[in-house]
Amino acid sequence: MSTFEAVIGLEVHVELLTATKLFCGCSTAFGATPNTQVCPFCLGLPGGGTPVLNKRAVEYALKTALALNCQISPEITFDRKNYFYADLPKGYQTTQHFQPLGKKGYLTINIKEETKRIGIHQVHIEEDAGKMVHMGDILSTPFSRVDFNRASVPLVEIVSEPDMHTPEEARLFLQKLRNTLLYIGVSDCKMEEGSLRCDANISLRPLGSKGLGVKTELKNMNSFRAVYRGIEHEIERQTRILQEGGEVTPQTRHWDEETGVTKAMRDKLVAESYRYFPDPTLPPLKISEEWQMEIRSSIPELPDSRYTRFIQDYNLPSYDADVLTASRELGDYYERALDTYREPKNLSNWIMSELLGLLNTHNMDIVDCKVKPHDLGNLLKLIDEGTISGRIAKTVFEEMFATGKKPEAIIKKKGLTQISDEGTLLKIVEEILADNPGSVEDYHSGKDRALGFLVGQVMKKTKGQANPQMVNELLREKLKK
Amino acid sequence: MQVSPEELNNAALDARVELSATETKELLREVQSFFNLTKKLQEVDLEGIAATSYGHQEPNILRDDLIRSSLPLEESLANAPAVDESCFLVPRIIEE
Amino acid sequence: MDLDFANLMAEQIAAAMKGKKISPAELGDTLFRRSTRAQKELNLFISFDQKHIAGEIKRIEQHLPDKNCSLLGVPLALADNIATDDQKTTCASRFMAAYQPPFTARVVSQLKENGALLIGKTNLEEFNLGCSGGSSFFNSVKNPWDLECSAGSGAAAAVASGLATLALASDTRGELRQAASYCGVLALKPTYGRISRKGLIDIASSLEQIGILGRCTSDLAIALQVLAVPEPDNPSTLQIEAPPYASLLEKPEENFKIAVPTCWNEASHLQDEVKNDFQEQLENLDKLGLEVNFVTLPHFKDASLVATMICAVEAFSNLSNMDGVRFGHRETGKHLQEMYIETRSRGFSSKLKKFITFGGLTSTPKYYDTFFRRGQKLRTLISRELESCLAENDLLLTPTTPFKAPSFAAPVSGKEFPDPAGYYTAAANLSGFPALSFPLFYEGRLPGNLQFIAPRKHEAALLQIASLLEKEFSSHRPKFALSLQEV
Ligand SMILES: [Zn+2]
Repeated sequence: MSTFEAVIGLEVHVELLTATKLFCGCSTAFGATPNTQVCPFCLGLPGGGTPVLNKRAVEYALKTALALNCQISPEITFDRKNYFYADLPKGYQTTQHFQPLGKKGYLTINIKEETKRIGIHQVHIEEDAGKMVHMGDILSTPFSRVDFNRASVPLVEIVSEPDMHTPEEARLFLQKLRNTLLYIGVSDCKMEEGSLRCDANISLRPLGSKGLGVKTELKNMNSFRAVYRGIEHEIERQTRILQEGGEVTPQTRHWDEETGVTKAMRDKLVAESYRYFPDPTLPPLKISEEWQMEIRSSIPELPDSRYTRFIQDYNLPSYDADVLTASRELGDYYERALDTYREPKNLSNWIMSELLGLLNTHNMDIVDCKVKPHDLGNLLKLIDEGTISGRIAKTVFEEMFATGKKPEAIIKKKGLTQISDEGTLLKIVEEILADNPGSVEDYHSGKDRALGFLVGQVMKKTKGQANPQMVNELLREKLKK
Repeated sequence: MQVSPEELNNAALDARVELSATETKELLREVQSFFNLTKKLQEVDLEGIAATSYGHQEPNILRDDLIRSSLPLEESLANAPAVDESCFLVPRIIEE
Repeated sequence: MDLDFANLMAEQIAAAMKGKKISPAELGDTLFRRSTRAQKELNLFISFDQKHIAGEIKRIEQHLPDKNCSLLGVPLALADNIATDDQKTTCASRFMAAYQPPFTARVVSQLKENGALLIGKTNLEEFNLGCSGGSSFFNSVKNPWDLECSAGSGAAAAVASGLATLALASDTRGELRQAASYCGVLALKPTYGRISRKGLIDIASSLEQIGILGRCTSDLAIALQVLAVPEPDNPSTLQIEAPPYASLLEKPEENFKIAVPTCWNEASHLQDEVKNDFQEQLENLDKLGLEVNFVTLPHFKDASLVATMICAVEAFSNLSNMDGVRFGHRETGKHLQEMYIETRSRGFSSKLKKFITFGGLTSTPKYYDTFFRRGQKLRTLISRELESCLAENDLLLTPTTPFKAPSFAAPVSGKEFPDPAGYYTAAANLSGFPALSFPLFYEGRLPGNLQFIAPRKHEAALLQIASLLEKEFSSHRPKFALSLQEV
């Protein structure tokens, strides 16, 4: 039985975070009543006017292409892709075919401790189509409703090179891409709202071969999990066909999340080869060096360089750096907290275990977190200064998380300050020793565990406020005598 | 260059129109005569000549990202042959 | 006052209105009566009715105090492929027969704001595809000079018959100028983008431009002045201010250097009458002291072929929105794609179906480079030839059409690609250059015509030469076959 290698390329469509559509002033807000955000132009009404390009859409696309390390075309064209479909009001989609904005870029992913570069074939601007609502299942519906609010919303399409070979690589690439786009703030990348959509081209070839097999295009994967599972399933399906000596049919297949299989969609009259030609209503647009420079300078530090910097500057393990740069906001949070509390690894530990733990439990995002970075820094300072113990700090942090109050205020109000006064502690230690002669005896007969018990008793008596290190020292000293 | 009726009918299908047998015959003749007329044009040396795709050579104009009012719903739907609630209604998508 | 509009200029009508020498009510009544009569004889309108004319009169009465209305009360006809929000805009297509745009074309608003009175929406070939007849869902328009002949368009017929002083219609491969030549009126196709294309239902966006029809140069100049206002948010219009046309006409340039392409007499279907008339006019120009030179423009003769290649592909794409979903006619179909085919096959004329199929064919990957792309390169070549010719000459002169208004009994053309009527006109659409068709009148014969092409943005030169010729040649204007004066 021969073994095969999968060859995977992704086509990702991302809605840009503009207020208006690509060529007209209609709003792009999500969730409006159907067909209330349309005008004669984007509804494709005869005589509905000519397209006027949205400057911000071009800037966001340019930012995207630059962040993905693309070469930028000095002049870009807008071209029509002609086909008939119910969600396409003009009978063509204006996209970029002949001179796209960006070419030959790349993104890196980290897989199995290694860094791998995934090529970006092209980044271009295009308009979105409307949305179809079927009565029940698309296969059985007698008719469909069409909402054109989404028609002509600006998209960038990012086409990767077929450089991925496993579902995991595809998932990592998509995550890295999403992360990068969120860093540069051009899209909200919500897969569930359709502002990030991913199609995959998948083919198999005998392991070691350089050629390309027959590919299928996989659509309708609406989550990262779906991308992983869909590709995994499609690779299995193609492997089975090839191992049985069959041939893969080039076709478009839809991932069905519920049944967990991919299905071919028959759409006979939807053209296999599209007609493309320059849109006669949209003259080419010059992308000057100055404009590129201006946009480039507005790009914040991207995940890769931040990751490297976190390792170099803060001495963080690569795992920590990876987690902390997974979103721009988390990285920003970390660095802001670091301004107050200059112990990078301690801070990283706290964020990764306590903060992300609570966010996870409450299914929240870092942007929704009530704890200000500065307050977290102060909390950690209070631990280091011995004002509170680590254990108390966790309780304080829970309250900070729930209320957004400052740690000092919580500690003061609840009287949680750590007891570090030697006199006070000594008195309590003596009491405990007097109350537990058995344990003292055990300690002296070599049972070290007894010490732990005695420490525990002191902590219990002080409701956890005793400085554990001092209690330890005092006990040892007393027990020597 | 010889055009076949199949090519013509495929092009008609791509344009989503159906030609009658007579129309196909007429068009075949017309296209063939057009192709013959353009024979000499096929020989013109166009090396290094750029294609003109636009009506003028003015630069493109960009628009600020500012919302302008859309059509009222009634006006959006007013010309539609079939509507349902606030949507346009189309026949089933799947072809069998 | 005598309401013989055929002999009144826009300026005179506006002055009479302002001076209350014509009452708006009287104007409205006369226009409606004459329109009804003209419609019966010529079939020039698709939409016109008493209610709309009455509405226009009311609007104009409100305009009366405004002294800046250069077109106050001036009767205007509008081709039915230019959108109006109060009247259907059908493009003479069955598919569009009920289409009511929720907006008005910018050109219409501009003229109306200046007091123009819109009589109605005029008939044309379906989507203005040529003017050789046979594709309007509302049948052909008869020529006011000879009811047995085609007028080319309702807009030209409305101006020729004296019903409208001005008309707007579009010009893709020369339709505006061709119809003007059949009907003996002036036509000005401005530089591409000089006049807003907003609200025009265009079949070929890179070629098509709204133009003006009228009976005298000064009317064209006034209308152009009103229309040629840059539209800052529209990339398909020119972003330059127009010169003051009226004052340029007051002291016109008279030393024009005129070029005539040597291929002028190579047009297919060139009538001897047209040929002889043209030669005679060349002599007349010589007598006027104008310098006329023959020039070789190797690809001028291919302009119509090239424009047809481009027009068909753009039409294929531009008309793809006609799918029966958001507007227009709809037939039933078992599924979506079948509905499209049924709808479009029944909604479009045979001529249009064939034309967009032709565009579909020449844009398939097999023919894309050899036809469409090649056509676009030839377009560059033709524009360059014109450009260099007009760098050394002020104007290029040809007949407008190789033949006069074709008779319904024996149409000259209409079947073949390209339409032979476009032999002289298409180059101006390919290059975006402005062009003007100037009428020539003969006793007992159909009107003839001359076409002038000027360099980009030089409409003024066209108006000046027309004004000059108007003084010299147009002393006699024979009577129409159709007379509306008594109606
Ligand atoms: Zn819109």
